[in-house]
Amino acid sequence: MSYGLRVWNASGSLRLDTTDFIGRLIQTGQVYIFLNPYSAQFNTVNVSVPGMSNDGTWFVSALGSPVISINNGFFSMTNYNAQSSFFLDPYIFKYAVFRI
Amino acid sequence: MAYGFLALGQSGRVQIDETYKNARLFTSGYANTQEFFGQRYPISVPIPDNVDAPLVLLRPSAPEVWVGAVRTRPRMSTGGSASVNMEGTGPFYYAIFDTNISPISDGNSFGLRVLTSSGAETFSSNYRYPRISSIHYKPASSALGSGWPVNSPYIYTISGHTFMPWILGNTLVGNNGEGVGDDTEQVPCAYATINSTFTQLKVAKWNQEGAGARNDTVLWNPYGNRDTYFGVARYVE
Repeated sequence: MSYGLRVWNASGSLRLDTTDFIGRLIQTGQVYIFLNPYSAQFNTVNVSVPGMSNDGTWFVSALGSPVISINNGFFSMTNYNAQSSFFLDPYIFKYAVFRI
Repeated sequence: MAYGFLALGQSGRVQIDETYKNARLFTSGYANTQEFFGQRYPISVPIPDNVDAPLVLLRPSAPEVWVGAVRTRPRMSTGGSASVNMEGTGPFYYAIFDTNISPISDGNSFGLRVLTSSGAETFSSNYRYPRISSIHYKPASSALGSGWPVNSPYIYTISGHTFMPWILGNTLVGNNGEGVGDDTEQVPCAYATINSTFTQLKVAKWNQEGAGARNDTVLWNPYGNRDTYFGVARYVE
């Protein structure tokens, strides 16, 4: 027997089905990823998230479009923003960690 | 006595509960774009400056239409509002979610609403959510590490889709192109598409065009020696 929650709105549009996972917000924050225009093009910062694992149930959205890698207990954000290397300012990345 | 709300889906995992809130749709649209002489042109959607961390879904208008090169840009100290830029080889739909921005509401006065113990809302049937179907891991050692051209993309098997799914855009990264060198120092971006039977998610690196383009090197590959993930969803308008 299938189970789970199925939710429609008042107009009959499906908002949640029994097979859906809409991503619960687990953690938010922001990090500074400094860029050195005279050495490495990309720089990476690790963010600790208790319980996180690379099991296909976690994902991260971030403002600034870094490359995201998910690991056990943390994720990493790599600044893939080449043009920012022209600025010596740190680049602030806001992030949100979700789990399905 | 414990109390609250908890809904478990078919896999036994939590769908919604009274503790964790969810990202909600705050803008969506249709990008009527196409490739022109091998060049793709970014669609820019302005978003509020107080956006938290926007979650972007893209839906190709047809199978084999490639979408990606997603750039979520904050408001910069050098000017310019926050925006989401994205590209496609043909028309596509986009949907952007966030936990901080006021969502689009159906305006109904009844339905299901779940609150935290402090009164914050975690779920409402008045809002639309990214209904994530699956997340697919891309190890750093895979073919995506150093080269994965569009004629030999990385392919993931997906299931359960009877119509065109949405593609998680956040990991289909594009270069932010801030400031100096914007037009001349472009680097490869990531794109994805869905096959005609909705059973394959294809991901590829697509070189940029133009003078000074830095292509085909590990250094300029967004996923060179890095693991990441891609995903599909069932967002319904």
